[in-house]
Amino acid sequence: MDEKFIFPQRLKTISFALMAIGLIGTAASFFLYSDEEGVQRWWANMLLNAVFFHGISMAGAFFLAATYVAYNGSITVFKRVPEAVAGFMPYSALLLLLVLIFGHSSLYEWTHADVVESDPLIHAKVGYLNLPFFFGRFAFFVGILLLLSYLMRKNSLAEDQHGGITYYKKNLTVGSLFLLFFAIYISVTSWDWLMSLDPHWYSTMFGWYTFASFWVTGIAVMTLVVVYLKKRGYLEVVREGHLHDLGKLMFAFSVFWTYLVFCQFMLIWYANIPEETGYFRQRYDHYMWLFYTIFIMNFIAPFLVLMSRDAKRKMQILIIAACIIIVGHFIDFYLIVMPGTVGNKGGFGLPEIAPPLFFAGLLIFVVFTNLTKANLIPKNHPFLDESLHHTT
Amino acid sequence: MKRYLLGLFDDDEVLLKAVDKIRAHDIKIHDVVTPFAVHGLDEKLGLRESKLHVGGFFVGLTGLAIAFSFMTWVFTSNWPIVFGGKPHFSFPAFIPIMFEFTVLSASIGMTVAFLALCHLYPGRFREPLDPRTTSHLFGMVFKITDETTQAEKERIAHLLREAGAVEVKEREMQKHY
Repeated sequence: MDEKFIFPQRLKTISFALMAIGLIGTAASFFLYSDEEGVQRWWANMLLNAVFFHGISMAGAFFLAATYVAYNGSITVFKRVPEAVAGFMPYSALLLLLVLIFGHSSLYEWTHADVVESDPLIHAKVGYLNLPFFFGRFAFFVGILLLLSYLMRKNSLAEDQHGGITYYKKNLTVGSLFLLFFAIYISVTSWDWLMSLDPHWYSTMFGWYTFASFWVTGIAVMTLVVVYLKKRGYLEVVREGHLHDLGKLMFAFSVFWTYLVFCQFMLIWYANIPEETGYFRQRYDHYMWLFYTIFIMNFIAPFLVLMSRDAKRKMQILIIAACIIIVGHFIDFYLIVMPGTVGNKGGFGLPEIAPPLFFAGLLIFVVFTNLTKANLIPKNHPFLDESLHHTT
Repeated sequence: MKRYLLGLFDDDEVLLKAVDKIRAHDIKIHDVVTPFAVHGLDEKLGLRESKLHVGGFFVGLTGLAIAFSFMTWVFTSNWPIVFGGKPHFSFPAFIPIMFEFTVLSASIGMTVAFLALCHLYPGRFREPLDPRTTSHLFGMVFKITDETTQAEKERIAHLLREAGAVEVKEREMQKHY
């Protein structure tokens, strides 16, 4: 089953155009909004996009690792798609690192020595929230996950060449390690990158919450890529059953996300402790529309759209649901980042529009370039035959 | 008296291929009885999709509405008590119960609907066409009416054996199968 993907010129042009427009817009907004508030808003947007797209690439690698460990054969035929999405990880990690290095003083209150001195709550957390440890955690966790996802890709390509079951077994080990470190990574980094934007507030559910968002957005992106490839005439062996699986994952994890968000909200609402409710007070009072919009876009819309069996098997409906989920979760991250950085002044303008275009263009370019690098359908994978006959 | 022609297979892969062969000859398969769910059989038999889940959705919706209206009635007008300084109509506190009651209604409703659709109720015993289809054999069932000629029966039996059936037999049942 030889199937080589050729990057369509039109898509390449689109991705370059997105990158160029995004880059110009981002640069322009940097100079247009050059007062202190504007600089803060600019960095907040950069962090929002860097974290969001980093999460998408992580979800790709997590998808691979989880399916290796679960001996899942249903996704094997389109395994190159999560691999390609995971291949975006080095780029997204680099961009995120740059944002954190150059933007940390605009983003995080606790990086200022005078704030730490005068604020007893932050002062008590200084053992964890300090810059060397902050970047140390970044380097350790992202470094390990990058290495492991690189190994997974390498073994997968070697399997194409040589065959046999050894590469699957190797990937099983690598995948297990990946899941282990991923579990710690997602908690720790969500505290670091997002929760410490509001250093007074804490929630033990935050890691799960971020994970659910990353994961469901990642699946939506992978679904879009699979559907795109199918529409272009590639991946003909991917049939309704495989699409049904992707639809089920999107549906299930939209509900999972809602469950976590609501749990976090309800416990805080019930206990009514001022230091906890502050987080929601600010978001509810000043961003009430978005507060309800994310519930509609991330829960009610996917729930109703993807509920029936037929809907999960139709490419057109999957595209609609995936787009709603991606935009909805972007708004969700907006609601996490903006009140913590720019306070009540989160706006919608050039600094909000331009960076996502750049990141999306880069994502498209990297993912489809990665797809051209290997045979679209994995050869010699032990579960390939099972996957070809997969029905639901 | 209802009469059926039964072709028994001992392998599900053979059965799946046999379904295609029989259907290619334009013969109507009444039912296929298997000891476990065989993947891909529904599509091959050309069965229409069950409407059970649509019913489940609406029963769940009804449960949601019942739970919401009941709690609103109790906590706002029938027996208003202040809990932890929260307003009487404290919607977030209702959501877990609304969710649980939706799931409960949908699952009970779907179970009852499923049993009703299959004509099953406590105390009912359905005699199997062949007891072995509940353990290790797969049976393909054809209806035989008074108009069915001997030649036709033989043709079906022949096709079944050709497709890999280990046994072909006729069966009379007291009730409609």
